[in-house]
This record gives sequence, structure tokens and C-alpha cells, in this order.
Amino acid sequence: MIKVRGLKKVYPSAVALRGVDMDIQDNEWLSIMGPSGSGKSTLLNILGGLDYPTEGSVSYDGKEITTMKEDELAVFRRENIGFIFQQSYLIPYLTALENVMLAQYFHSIVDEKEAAEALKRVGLSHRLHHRPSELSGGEQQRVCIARALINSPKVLLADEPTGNLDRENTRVILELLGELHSNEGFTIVLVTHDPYVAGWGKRLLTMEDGRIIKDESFHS
Amino acid sequence: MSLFIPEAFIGSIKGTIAISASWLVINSYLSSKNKETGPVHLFILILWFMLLFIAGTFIEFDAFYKDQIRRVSAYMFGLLLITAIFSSGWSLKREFRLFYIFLIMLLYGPDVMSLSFFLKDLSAMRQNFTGAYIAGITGFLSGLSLLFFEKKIRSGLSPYLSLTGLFFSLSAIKLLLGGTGGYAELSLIPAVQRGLMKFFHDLVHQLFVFFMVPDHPLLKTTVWNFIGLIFGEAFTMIATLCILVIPPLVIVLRLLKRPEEVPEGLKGAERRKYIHEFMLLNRKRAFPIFLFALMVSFFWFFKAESGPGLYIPQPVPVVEEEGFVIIKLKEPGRELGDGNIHKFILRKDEKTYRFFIFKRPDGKFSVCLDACEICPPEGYGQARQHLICIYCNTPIPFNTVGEPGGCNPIPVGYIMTEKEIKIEVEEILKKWRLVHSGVSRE
Amino acid sequence: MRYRTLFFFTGKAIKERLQRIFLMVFAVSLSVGLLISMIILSKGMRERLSEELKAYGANALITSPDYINEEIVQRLSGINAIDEVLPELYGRACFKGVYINVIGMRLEDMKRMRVTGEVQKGSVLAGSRLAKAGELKTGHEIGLSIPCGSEEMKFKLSGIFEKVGSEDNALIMELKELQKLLGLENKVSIIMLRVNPAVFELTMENLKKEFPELEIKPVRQIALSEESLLKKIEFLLFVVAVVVVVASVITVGGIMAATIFERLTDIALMKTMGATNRQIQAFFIVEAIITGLLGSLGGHLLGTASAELIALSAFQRAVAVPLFSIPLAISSGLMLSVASAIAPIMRITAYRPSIILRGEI
Repeated sequence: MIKVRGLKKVYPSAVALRGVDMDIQDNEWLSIMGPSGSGKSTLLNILGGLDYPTEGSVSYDGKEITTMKEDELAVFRRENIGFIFQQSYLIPYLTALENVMLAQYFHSIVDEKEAAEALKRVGLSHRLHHRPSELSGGEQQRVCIARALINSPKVLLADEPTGNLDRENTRVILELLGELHSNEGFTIVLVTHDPYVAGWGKRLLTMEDGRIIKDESFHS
Repeated sequence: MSLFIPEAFIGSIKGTIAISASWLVINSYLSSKNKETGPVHLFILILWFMLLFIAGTFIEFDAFYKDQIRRVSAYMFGLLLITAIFSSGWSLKREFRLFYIFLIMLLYGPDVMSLSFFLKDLSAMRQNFTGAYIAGITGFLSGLSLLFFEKKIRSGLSPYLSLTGLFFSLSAIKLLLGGTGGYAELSLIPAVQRGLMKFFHDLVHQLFVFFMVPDHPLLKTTVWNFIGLIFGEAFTMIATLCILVIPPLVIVLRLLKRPEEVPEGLKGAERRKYIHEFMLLNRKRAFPIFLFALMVSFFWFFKAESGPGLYIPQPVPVVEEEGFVIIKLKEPGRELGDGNIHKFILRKDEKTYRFFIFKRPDGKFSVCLDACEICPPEGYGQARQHLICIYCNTPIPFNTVGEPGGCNPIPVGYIMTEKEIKIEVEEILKKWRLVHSGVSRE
Repeated sequence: MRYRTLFFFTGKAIKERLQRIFLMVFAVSLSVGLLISMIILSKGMRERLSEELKAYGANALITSPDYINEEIVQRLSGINAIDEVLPELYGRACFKGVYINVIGMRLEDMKRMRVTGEVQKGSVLAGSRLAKAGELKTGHEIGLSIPCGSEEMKFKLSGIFEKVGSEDNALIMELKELQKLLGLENKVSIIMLRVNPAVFELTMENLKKEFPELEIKPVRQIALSEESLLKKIEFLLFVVAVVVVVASVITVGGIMAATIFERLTDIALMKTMGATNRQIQAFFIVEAIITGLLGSLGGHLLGTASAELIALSAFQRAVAVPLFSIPLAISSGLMLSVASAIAPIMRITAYRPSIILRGEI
């Protein structure tokens, strides 16, 4: 369970978070919506240990991460968190398979078979040895998902993962996420401003001006 | 009179650091097995070395025994190395603290004894008892101060130490810091090399003997030249490197392998993490062993490049004039007081007598035979800080040249005037009778 | 295993920008090469010079209007400050109807010459030019006579020697034999000396007093060239080396910095995957190490080649490459490339991944 208490983040030019409290349950699919500048990306970064808050605490199963040193955070990230971003950031000179293996390398050791398996699960078994430039946007994003999940993280943090995709591809990606989510049972925190995407979650937080203004749960 | 003699300080701090470091390494190893040693053990250790030191200081030992003690130190080192290599196959169920305490006692006992001899000699030579011992004790205490950092060092060190790693670390410490007069590196590589040379030589001869081939008359010179290659400097030098470096490297390579078994039930990321952590630990454990191999190869390169590394001048013939040999302090092209050894050779009654004149760093001239009471008279060469007996490689610190006994060159009396040094021929002849006689042994 | 992976990923990155890597390798090669050639040359020059001086010449010359008696050689040999005494007898003898120069030397001095073939008692050596002109080969028999047409003395040609200067045209034979041939028992034409440079002046004065009947001349140019030339060359090489090392540090550091900036997004991405700063730095360090190794390899080749070229043109002979130049090249190359890459590598840590991924840099 992730506990967030009194989270504030002040940048020199602006205030991004003005006190956020929330609990995220294990195996939850949480969407966060809000206009740009509402602080949702900042919140996601702090949740993922990519940034330090100005004030407040974030704890994973009781383990506080805001007081960790940079290297400890790195170790925490590699074992617990997977990231997906709007742009499908892949290393351009590595093939799809090697991109996944790089995440294995930072975690522990590489295992080519396992990486190929992961790509097969996202439906890319025919694209293992293609470079990112040879893949379509949807395929690139699927590589990113495979990479984010290769080390069996507890939490997947997604920042506008379908922002650059058309509706059809968006649906494919979300279906894939949904399938993996129900199979592997990790928590998803997904930031978006697209109500269609947000609708895939079981719970929706709406943010505005650095605060959570609405917290609704859907029961299907 | 100076109250502080730097040589004494350096000698004792080196020895004490070696002992403290060994203690720390052993303790780090034991703490990873939950077998920390306590103050009692430390107390026993310090008491033992104190006793040895006091014994060395107050009991008069013959030069012969002194040399034997130094030799024991070298043997201990060899034993340690062999243990290190073989220990890679051992898996100990129980650890005995006292064994390691005993090991340090044995390993550094001779060094401490030598240190006490060294301080005693030094204080006698400089006629400065307080200076030598104040400096010595200061060095001793400074070396011990290493123990204050024990807690810090221990936790940092313990993941790096396996049993094999421990033995190799101890060897490395001994190699770097052991030996009172010189450095152990001065003795390790040449000693192994000489051993190998003898081994190959004997091996070939024994083979011939075994097959009952009269070797020498049968084989042509060219064949012998070929066989001679393996007795030669270059070959044994390389063989020395192999013998010293390959076993640790093999151990290192073995440690770098993947685990043979992974616990069942571990899958995916968890399995990889298990393998990774296993390898990480072994890599850390390989590190001190690798370091040892690296250090030895470094010394080897140093040694191989510098050759024997000794300055061995050609003896200059001298003649007898009315019962004396007279050598001018300054001559064109030669100055006796330049800090180098100057060898001379005297022929009398069909026999030759070699001696050398050496001005010590402390300003005193020493006239000595180019031979000692123990070894065959192969003479001495000059290294940076020592004269080295060419036969047995014993380093003689410059300022002890001219003191009698042991492997020191046999001193000869002389008369010094402003311009020349006069040596009685009868004295040279008389002293030469001591050469290789082992007089000190009686 | 893990290192293999590290090298694998770094190798991929390197393949992507071979040109830059080549430039870095080249910069490192240049500095290492200079260092190595400097060391080989100065070591080689010292050895070669003293060998040349010992082999050929000499820093003093004793001549006389008449021939010199051989017993003077004995007396000179007894003087401590004289390292070498080389008596030579010059003469001319008829060979195949032509007069050629013949030099008589002691056997032990002949043995020190650079000879292809052997130096044997009772045989002669031919200078390379003479051998070429007369199509002489080792093993040939050479008949000498004085004057032309008289009875010949036979000698076996046992070797060809090389020497710079007019002696290349001459035959060399044992002093005793030449004395017999010319009928000049116990005479020599010239005595060359190698006097200990430390007491050169003093010894020359003493010699003049002791042998007033002889002309004793210092051979200035050789004596002087021993140290001062070497020092000048070494200084020059040193200055050039410093300049090249600075230039290559700037080059390597600059290229590394550019690479790192170019890959800022990749680096941020690696951080999100949980890479520690050390892990990321390792990629670049490995790159620097590979650069350094390749550079030191190239540098060693470059250095030895240029040193040999210079040595060949200066001494007509190659110099030995000392064994320690190999570890020296490797360590200096590694140090150079790693040291110049370290500053930009350390800068990576300054960036937070969140800032980069938002596109603020």
C-alpha cells in the first residue's frame, strides 16, 4: 500500500503541489486526471522517486522513500517501480530485445530468453531484433511496457502513456495493460487528461492547482 | 645526540602496521562468521609480541640463529601462500579463533625478533640507546593506532573475505610490509626463482641418472645450450611469475562463475536477483585474491625490468706495498667516499682476496671482505637501501655494513689518513680464513 | 558475465558513433606515441651513443709524425682514467692489382665491431663498400702483396663490417699480421683513447706531460656531443609532449562531454529504470577505457615506429624497445583517456531525471 501524506512541491517559479494526501491499495488501477499544470506529473515523479518533495511523505508498505539517498532510491526503483511515459523513450541504438535487456541489466543480470518472453506477451515476438526507428508508435509503446514490467515491479507508473497514439492504438495499449494488470497483479497509477483513458481505471482522482479535488471509485 | 632515529621509527611502524592489519583482516573475516575476537585475544597477541621483543632485546643470539630466525620468517610466508592456494577447496564447518591468533603469532614472531635485533644493533651502532628506542616505541604506538578504526574497517572489509581471500590478504600484507630490513618482495621473487632453477636443474640431471644416460659426454654442446635455457634467468623468471600468479587467478576465475544451482521456485526477476547477488558476493571475495596477483605481477615487472637490480662493480686490482694495501681516497675517475661500493682484488701466493670499501650514509668508512662467514663468497651488490648478498639475497642495511656477524660482510681493520686508506695485508689474509667457515655457528 | 553485458552495451553505443571514438583514439595515440618514442629514443640514444663511442671512437687521439711504439699502449692501459685504448696501424697493400687501405687492430677490438660473419684469429674483415665493389663474400680467400706482383700472403675473409666513413673501403686484419706484412714489428700508427669524461681535462694534461714526444688531441665533437645534444633533444621532446598531452585531454574531454549531452535523455531513462549513477558512469568509463586501450596500442606502434625511424636516420641502426614501454603505454593511455573523460562523466550525476524527461534541458 502506498501512503502519501501532506505532499508539497515548490519550484522556484511555481508551486506544483499544495498538500496531497492519498492511499493507494495494492493491485489498484488508479487514474489521475486534471488540466495541465495541476501537478499530476510532479506527483507521479515523486511517487516514483525521481524527484524529492519539498515537504510531506511517501511510503510504500511502510517504507519511507522521501528520505532515501539517490542510490537507495535507484535500488528501490529498479525493484519496485516501472515507468511508462508519453514519448516512448527507447535507446535508439539498441533493438527492442536489447532495450528490455538493459532494464534487466540495471536490475541484476540479463536473461535473453526471459526478455524475449516479455516481448511475446505484449505481442511483439516478430519484432525482437528491430530498432525503435523501425517500429510504429504503438509498437514502441508496447516495448516500453515490456521493459517497465520485466523486473516484476509492484507499481506501474504511467504518465500519459497514450498521449501520442490514435484511438485504435490507445485501445490496444489499454487492453494490453488491463490484461497484464489482471494477470500479474501490480498496481497501476496512470496520469492522463483523456477521460476515455481515465475511464479504464477503477478509481479516479481529479487534481487541480496542486490539490486533489475529487476522489471517485467505479464499480464494474 | 638525536632523540629520534627515523630508521628505528620506520622499522617498527612497518612491523606494527603489518601485525595490526593482519589482525584487522582476520577479525573482519571472523566477524562475518559471527566469531568476533575479543580484547582477551588482542591482549594475548600483544603480550606474545612484547615477550618476543624483550627476549630479542635482552638475550644475546648468535648471528647464525639470527639468520635462522629471519629464514623461518621466509618459510612461514611460503607456507602461508601454499595454504592460500589450497584453501580454495576447503569448506570449514567450524572456525577456531585461536588458530588465527596462533597464525599471526607465527607469521610475525620472526619479524618482531628481527625488529628487536635491528633496534639493538641500531642503538649500538649509533651509540644512541634512547634515540633508537624512543623512535621505535613511537613507531610501535603509531602502528597500533590502526586498531582504533577496527569497527569501521571490519564492516567494510568483511564481505570481501572468504577463507582463501583471507590467506591471500595476509600474504599481501606480509609481502608489502613484512621483513625488518628490506622488503619481502626483495626475497619472494628471487627465492622462488632460485628454487625453480635448482628444481629444473636437478630434474634434468635426475632424469639422466634415472635412464642411466651418461649425460655430459653424450650430448653436444648445442643440446646442452638448449637444455640450459630452462635453467636460465629468463625462463625461470617467467616460470616464477606463472607459479605465483596462475593459482590465484584460477581461483579468481572460479569465483566469477555463475551459481550452479538456483533455489527452485525462484522465477523471473527474483531468480536473476539471486544469481546477481551470488555473483556479487563472489566477485567481492575474488577481489583480494586478484589484488594479490596484481601486486606480485607488479613486483615481478619491476624486478624483471631492473634485472638483478644490483650495482656490482668490477674489482680493481691492488698490490702490496711493504705489507700494506694503500688506496687513495681520491683518484682520477674514482672517489671512495661517493657512497658506492668500491671493490678491490688482491693477489697473493696464487690466491685472490676480494674486499670492498664503502662510505656509509652516516659518514663512516667500512672496509670489508667481499664475503661473509656463512655463504660461499659470491660477494655483495649494492641496491638502493641495502647491500645484498648475491648468494642468499639477504639485505644488509647500509649503516650496518662494517658490523661483524651473520650474513654481514666480514669487516677488516684499516688505518685512515687524510688522503688514503691503509689496510694490512696480514689482516686481510687472516679474516679471509673466516669466509664461509661458519665461525658464528660455534 | 556482468562485465560482458557491460561491454556489450557499450560496444553498441560505440558502434553508433565510430568517427568520434576514432578521433578520441587518435588523440590518445598521438600523446602516448610521443611519450613512448621519447622514452625509447632517449634510452636508446644514451645506450647507442655510448656504444658507438666505445665501438668506434674515442674522445682522444694520439698520433705521432712517425710510428708509435706498441709499449706505449701497455703504459696507457695502466692508467685508471682511461677506459679504452685502441691502437691501430694503417697501411696499404696490393689486392688484385690495386692498392687498398688495410687497418690493423687487436683481435679483441675487432670482436667488438659490428660484423656480419665471424671474427677469427688470422682472418680479415672487409668494409661493406669494399666488399660490394670487389664482390667479396665471407669465406673468400684474399691475397695481399707489397708491392704489387710480389709474393702474396693469403688470408681468409671471415666477415663484412659496417662503419661510417672512409674505413668502409678498407680491409681490417689483426694488428700482429699487418705488422708482419708491412714489416713494422711493434709499431702502430695511431692510438685512440676513451678517457673518462669526468676527469677528461686533467687526464689530457697528465698525458701531455708524460708523453711529450706524442701528439695528444682531444676529439672535441664527440666528447661534447655526448651530453648536450641529448639534453637538447630531450627537452624539445618534452615540450612537444606536454603540448600534445594537453591537446588530447581537451579533445577527449570535449568529445566525451558532447556525447554525454547528446545522450542526456538516454541517461535519464536509465535512471528511471533504476540505474545508479555508478552504473551509468560505468558505461562511459568503459568507453574511455576502450579508447585508452586502443589509443595506447596505436600509440605504442606509432611511438616505436617513429622512434625507430629517427634512430635509423640518426644511427643507421634500430634501437631496442624496452619491455617496460608496454605497461607504460597502456597505463599512460588509460590514465589520459579516463582522466579527461572523468569530469564530463561526473557531471551526469548532477541532473535529475525528472527535469530531463520533462524536456527542460
